[in-house]
Amino acid sequence: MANSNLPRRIIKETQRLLSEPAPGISASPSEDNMRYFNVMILGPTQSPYEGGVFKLELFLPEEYPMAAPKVRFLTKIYHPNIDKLGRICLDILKDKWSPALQIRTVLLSIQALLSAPNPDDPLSENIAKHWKTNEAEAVETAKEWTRLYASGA
Amino acid sequence: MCFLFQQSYTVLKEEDILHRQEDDVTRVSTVLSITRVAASILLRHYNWSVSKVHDAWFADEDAVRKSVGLLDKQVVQFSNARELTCGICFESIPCDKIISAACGHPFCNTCWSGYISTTINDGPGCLMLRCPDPSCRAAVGQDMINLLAPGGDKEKYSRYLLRSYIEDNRKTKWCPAPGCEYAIDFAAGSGSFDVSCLCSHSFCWNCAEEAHRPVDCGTVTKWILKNSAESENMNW
Repeated sequence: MANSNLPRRIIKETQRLLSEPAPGISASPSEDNMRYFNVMILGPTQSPYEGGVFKLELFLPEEYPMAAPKVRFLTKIYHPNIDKLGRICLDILKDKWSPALQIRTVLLSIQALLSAPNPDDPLSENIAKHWKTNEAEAVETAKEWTRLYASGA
Repeated sequence: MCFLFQQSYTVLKEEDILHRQEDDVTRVSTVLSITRVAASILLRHYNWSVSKVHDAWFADEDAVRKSVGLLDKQVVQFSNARELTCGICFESIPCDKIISAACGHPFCNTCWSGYISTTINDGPGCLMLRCPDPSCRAAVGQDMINLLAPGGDKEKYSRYLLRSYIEDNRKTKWCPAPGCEYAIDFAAGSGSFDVSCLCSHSFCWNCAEEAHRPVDCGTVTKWILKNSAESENMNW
């Protein structure tokens, strides 16, 4: 295994993620690469994603924690701040990253983003437009996609 | 009879710029009774305008301290432990190798150094550096940079600070001639925008094109556009 020189911080974070997972979030490292995590986030209650199980991948680059982790949705999701490749528009993954943040805080922020979509800072122009012109209908589409693609099967 | 124009600008060499910057820092530091590092952070936030710093500070010192990140007391109290856990590498570190900004959030020398170096290499944003703790707004000044940044990065930081003094200040600009390292300090209110740098380049302070008195800047812009547009050649 090429994981022998894994920084202590990553080992400690991983242990804590496994022993005391945050509610509605699970993250476990891949067996052949301890910097690659398989993540699952449950759609928050009272959001259009309720009842859905969303898969994500998270990768810790060589510079971590000086550089932010790379995170992407693998499950298709209808959300103004997530594009069709699963990329996420979130400040702490870009310029607001700080080395004092952790995998846990990043995933909690993503969970919060599902509860509070922000169409004013969109990544998917079309979805954001839909959200702003007809929110009720956009929410229906998001629920539909959750049923179709994130039903956990 | 000849007209005597009073020169409305000064050409600044690098040592002049540093000198002025130092003077401004000293003035703010003396008037507000704060350290030179704090004065420099304040000036940087108020685009190097000494009068704006004074006005803001005397109007509401607490608000200024808060927005700029100059805390007057620690947020975190150190315990008497001999070791503390660094908030970045999560290692237990002896207290003599732990450093904090004014807030007291503990990080080890190595992590500080990595954090500062990463930010400096990301660009001039490093001049607004804050404590790594995401909920903390405590400013990190040049004293900590000099203590913790790797050699070459200290130099880069100083360059950014010097550039900021010219670029963020409304009264100064770099001479636009390629390779020229002088700056111009321009006193507003005089009639002419023509400026002649020590490198012998003459330009208009207002639009940075070549000196064009008595034609106004708008006309010059149109002329340049007309000159560069291919179709205008055809029309002629």
